[in-house]
Amino acid sequence: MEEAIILATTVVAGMTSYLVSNILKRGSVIGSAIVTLVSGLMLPYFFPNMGGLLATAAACASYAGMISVENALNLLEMAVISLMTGILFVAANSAYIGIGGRLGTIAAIACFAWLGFKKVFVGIDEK
Amino acid sequence: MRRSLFSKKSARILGLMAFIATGGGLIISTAINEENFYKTEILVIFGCFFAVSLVDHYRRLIERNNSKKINRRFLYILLCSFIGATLTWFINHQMGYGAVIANGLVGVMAATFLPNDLAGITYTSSLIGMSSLEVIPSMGVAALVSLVVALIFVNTAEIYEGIGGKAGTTAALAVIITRTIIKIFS
Repeated sequence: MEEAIILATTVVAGMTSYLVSNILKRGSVIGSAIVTLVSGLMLPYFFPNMGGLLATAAACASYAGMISVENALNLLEMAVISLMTGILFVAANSAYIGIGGRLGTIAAIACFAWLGFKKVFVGIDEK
Repeated sequence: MRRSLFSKKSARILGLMAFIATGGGLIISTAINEENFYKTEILVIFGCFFAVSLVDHYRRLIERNNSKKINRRFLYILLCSFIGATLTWFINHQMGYGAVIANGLVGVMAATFLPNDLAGITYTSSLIGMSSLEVIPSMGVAALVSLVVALIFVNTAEIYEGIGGKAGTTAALAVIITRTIIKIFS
């Protein structure tokens, strides 16, 4: 159950970050930072037991949401990338503990993994 | 001319190798240490797609000769990097608001008051300040890492262009490099 909540949080956070960055065209930094800040303030309040973990997961997905529109064509793709970020966040929770940038590295791996997935299965190659 | 092209190519390859080391290191170290078979399996699958994508990315990177120029106002970049890292570290550890709020706050301020490129480096270095006290015990160390992150950012910004998480990978790389240097000299 805990994992399902984490995955749902990452999907919402990643999509929101992408929406602000690429669809509302406010820039990737504000897109990610606003999601990170709001989740850091709100989630521990609404989920006292696991709010900190959810805020961390949301921050992680928000970094993935900084992806350019050339690499994630629409919100649906972003939802898949966010889900992959959530899965990786759960699976790699014991790595690089305490190192700043760990969450961003997870996000980057998820983004690259999605591009690799597209390359292998969907065969999307714009160039 | 030839010399500068060679340097650019070398910088790209080095940056990409560093990226592979940071991302691959996370996948491999977790896969080795993880006792849960399913988690290891997931990591291996992700690792395979990561590798496929990196090969493709490398090919495009080499083909991309006239890439967008990164604004190299190094002094500003250095200053923003320093402020981003130390301010986040201060809000996180001294004021006690926690890493996520500190990072979000610095990011929102950077995006509001700074132009895009400088907001990017400030947000990148802000991720350094999210490190635990065991990793970055003082503001001085945070300042040192911010210098490393600025150097990496200037040389690798075009390599990671358009990929979500490039800031975090750059920050993680800078933290690991600085920790290694400190360990060697201490």
